[in-house]
Amino acid sequence: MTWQDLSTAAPLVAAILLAITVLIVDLIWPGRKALSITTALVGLAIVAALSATATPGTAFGGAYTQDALTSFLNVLFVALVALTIMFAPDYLESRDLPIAEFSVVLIFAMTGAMLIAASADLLLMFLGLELMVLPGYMLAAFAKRDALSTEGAIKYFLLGSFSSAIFLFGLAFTWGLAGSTRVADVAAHLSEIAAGGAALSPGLAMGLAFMTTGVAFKIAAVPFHYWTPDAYQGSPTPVTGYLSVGPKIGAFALVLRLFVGALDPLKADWEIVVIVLAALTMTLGNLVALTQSNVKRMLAYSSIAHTGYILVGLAAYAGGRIEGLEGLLYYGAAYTFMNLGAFAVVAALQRRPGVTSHLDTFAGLGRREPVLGILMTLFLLSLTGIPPFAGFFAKAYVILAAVQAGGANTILAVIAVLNAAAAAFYYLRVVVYMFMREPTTEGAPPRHGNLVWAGLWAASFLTIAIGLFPGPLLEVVNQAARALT
Amino acid sequence: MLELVPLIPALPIAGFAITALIGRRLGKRASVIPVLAVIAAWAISMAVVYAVLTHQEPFGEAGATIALWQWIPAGAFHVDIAFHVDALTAALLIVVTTIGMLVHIYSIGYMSHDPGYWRFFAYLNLFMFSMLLLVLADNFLVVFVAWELVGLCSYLLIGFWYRRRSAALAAKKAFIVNRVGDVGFALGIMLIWSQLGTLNIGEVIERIGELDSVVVSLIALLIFAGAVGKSAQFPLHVWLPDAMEGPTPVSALIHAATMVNAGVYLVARTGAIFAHAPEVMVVVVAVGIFTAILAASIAFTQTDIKRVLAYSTLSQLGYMFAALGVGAYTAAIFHLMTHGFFKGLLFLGSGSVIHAVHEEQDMRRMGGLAKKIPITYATMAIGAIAISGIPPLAGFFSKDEILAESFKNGFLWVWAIGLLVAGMTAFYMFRLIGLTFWGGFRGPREIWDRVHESPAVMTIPLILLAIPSLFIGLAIGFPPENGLLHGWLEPIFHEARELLHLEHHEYQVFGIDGALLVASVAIAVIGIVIALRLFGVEFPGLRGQARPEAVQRLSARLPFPYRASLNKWWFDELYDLLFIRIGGRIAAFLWWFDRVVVDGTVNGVGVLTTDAGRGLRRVQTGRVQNYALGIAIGLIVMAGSYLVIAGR
Repeated sequence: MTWQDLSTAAPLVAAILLAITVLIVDLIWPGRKALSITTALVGLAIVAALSATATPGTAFGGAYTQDALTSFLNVLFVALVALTIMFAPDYLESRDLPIAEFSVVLIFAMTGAMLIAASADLLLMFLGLELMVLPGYMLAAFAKRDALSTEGAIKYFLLGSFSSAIFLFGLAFTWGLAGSTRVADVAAHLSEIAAGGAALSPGLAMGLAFMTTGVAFKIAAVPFHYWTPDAYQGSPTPVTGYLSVGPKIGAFALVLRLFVGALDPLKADWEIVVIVLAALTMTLGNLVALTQSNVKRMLAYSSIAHTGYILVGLAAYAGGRIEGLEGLLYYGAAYTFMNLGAFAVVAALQRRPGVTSHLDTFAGLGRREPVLGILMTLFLLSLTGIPPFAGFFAKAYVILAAVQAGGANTILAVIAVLNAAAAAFYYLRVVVYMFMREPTTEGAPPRHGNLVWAGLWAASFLTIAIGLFPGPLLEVVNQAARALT
Repeated sequence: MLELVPLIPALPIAGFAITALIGRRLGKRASVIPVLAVIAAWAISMAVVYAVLTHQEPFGEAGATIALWQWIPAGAFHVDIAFHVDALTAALLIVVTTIGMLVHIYSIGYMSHDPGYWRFFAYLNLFMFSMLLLVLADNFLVVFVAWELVGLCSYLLIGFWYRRRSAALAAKKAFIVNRVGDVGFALGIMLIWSQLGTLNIGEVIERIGELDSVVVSLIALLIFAGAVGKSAQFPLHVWLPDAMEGPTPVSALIHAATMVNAGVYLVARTGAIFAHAPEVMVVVVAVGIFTAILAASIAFTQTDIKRVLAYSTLSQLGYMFAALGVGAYTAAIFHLMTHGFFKGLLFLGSGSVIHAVHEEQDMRRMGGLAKKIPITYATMAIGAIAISGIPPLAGFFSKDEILAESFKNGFLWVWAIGLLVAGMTAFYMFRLIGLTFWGGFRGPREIWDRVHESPAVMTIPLILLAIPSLFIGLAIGFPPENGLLHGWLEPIFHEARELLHLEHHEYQVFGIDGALLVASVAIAVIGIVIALRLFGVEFPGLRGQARPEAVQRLSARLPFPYRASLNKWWFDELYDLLFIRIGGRIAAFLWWFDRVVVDGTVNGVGVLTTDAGRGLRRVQTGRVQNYALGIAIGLIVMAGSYLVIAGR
């Protein structure tokens, strides 16, 4: 390890230091919540600034790479962790849950995601993945005295470990056949095989299957999604918001580094698998979301459907369109802000312990708390995919890329459009409840902290801004996509 | 200078946002921000207009474009937000911002007692933004967005007093009738995109010649359909008279001086497209001149002061379309400008009258108001003379030019009908003045005692509008066909005119042009004289009694034309029959079909999917072992399929 290595990995180093700092601050001044939160947010801003300005290069003998994709993903991770920290205090405080530990665990999870985004080595990817998901298990169990939370967390942990093992198995196969764990070497070896025109060896096919399964679990693609509803339902709502976005975007970073980076030569082989996964994922996610009467659970299933849409971008890339990758990255950013925003509104409504996230809680929200109602409507419209919000352009870009890719991707595009139409039903149902039903609960609405408002305004601003002025973001994702290929 | 252009629409939208958010709390101060925003936008516009018309850099001869950002970049389909400013835009900017500003100021007084004060100003500012966006945009899609936005503002403002049933209905009527035209416009835009792959107006005009002539004709017709809706031409003219349910400043701004001109502007802007489709231009002429005479004939017998003006607006818009159709683009824009000023003046004046007689709009209960409200009277009289086409007031120059060009470009029938309409216009305008201002008061006594002139905040805009109504024709349109305006606009329409083989003839004062000029002045004088004979006159040095019995005799002798005019040629009844009764039957059948067949199918699918969803939900047993088994099975399937793929 040299200075050179450390300065290339400065964002990651800063994130780790930040987590430790917040831990120490909380140790010295326990109970000073504002201090911990401020430290965390300021630190995150520094990490974001370091990531955005990081100079491209490699470190640790080529295992760690810093490029436009790394920067983009890092900033996105920081944004989603920062928003989660902003949304959490109201909810956690009223349930006597510690906010400082929450921030620390989140930031540790973020370091894992950042490591994935920067990894150019199969082993490092696995390391990052584990670093990212382990804090996730802790977060799922954050309300330790709540039986549901603990139950969901244990299931998540067991199945997560199971799938990690499967994934590692796949890595081992690949390493065994390629003779190296470096992404560049693997890709070079595989392209020789692909160029030879010979059929894939069964070993490589098994490796691909194990890796695909492992990754599909992490992004919660059907049929490897079973863990999501239970984990999401049981977790405290701010954690659910994070779980539906953070590990998913992190896992997609893994997909990009692994499938688009190392396994790119074999894309003719995994294209059809991704197409089937995408079609299954969005269709099943939507179908089940249709029947939910609990908004939190509905959002959990709908997040599965969104995984499907994001996979459409990957499939389009495999079909030969780089625009698919751009759409995937754009979708990731749009999804982060709109989904976190929607969960934040749910969390805000559950400020008082005991309030459920059932649809009835939303009845008459437009009259009781008009601003909250309007913001929720905005997020839901964006999730549905209605212009001019970010969600619309996100869907438009991935679907457009799929159409351009042609072949089986065209069918996938049709399925995606049909699914988007079906999704309108359950998203807009919430809007109907908010604005056209009489409120069922009496009494003054709870007061929401300034931090929550700031976060909500930031998320809604971004949801609108990305839709209205997509230019700058498109520029960035374009560079990120080109850095990868 | 170019960098200032985005501020012109930005100021009103900022005013709208602020007023919409906090206006309610400001009470009577709510007008401060919107009015200041519009005044600032006016000042900037004037500076920009000056720079454009004097060909300063960066505008030069052809105008300049400022690109703000790329709005929709989706592969080959991209829409940029960019503003294009050239002489045509400048002409529109003059009308829109000047009249917009004066109407804003006037509204401070006119709406002062209204509980929806802040809401009114918020809408007005939103309208200003939309209208300015419409004239500045350089892209068909952005124009369309602005087109819909002005339509929305029109809807909101017609229905401003939404508790009044007639206002709510009129708002809906305007909105729905406009939809018909807008569908056409939208289809036109899609056709342009599918044929040319661009929506940038400049590029489209440049490349329109590449297309098949049938396609070009279709595009032109579809664009014209949009213009017909927005500018209330036959057969979509029915919404504009009802739109008078809105507050009078709205009628002046939106339904006389600006929004209804959008159609004229659009056709002028895309003049080159129309020039490639001469047969469509004949349609434009026919629709325009027919609307002109139809509306003028209806205006003869209307008794609501605002409705007379509304039909007059229809008629004058018809003139403009006729001018566009015969290739007299500059004359059309010239008339658009002069008409904007004097019709805005007439509407604001009518608002002042209505205010004075306590919200009475029926001219049968007015009369003799000249003595009580002298400023309103004087300014409205100027407006009436201007619209009648008496030299040297504004309307004379523009109207004469339209008529002369129709004649010289070979559209004799257009000229003949136009001339007749000019006489009719003079007649009904002086009927309006006579009934309102001259003779004795016919309303209740207690109202007469309380008739008072409007406050200065309302009369000053009237005076300020009277000045251009007097001089603008002389200032920018003299000498005829060779004035300042022609110098500005000629380069823009040069291409279209060349395509139509229209050459610029030398103006012959002692030839054909002089003769046409005398004819149009003569017919205007005849119209005025007849009106003065029938409805009286009280000019200094010229007095005459109204002769209601002669009017009655005349209408009794011509029963059919009289009733046709009074009943607006039964268009509302015809549409009621066609669309409400017959259309209603069809709709009822479709509803039945929709409910039983379509809904049945959809609900069936819905039940099926929710059932499927429930079935799938059962997979979620909550037992980890089952989940792990599921994952294992998934893995096996996955491995199997990869092996199959690999073995291909």
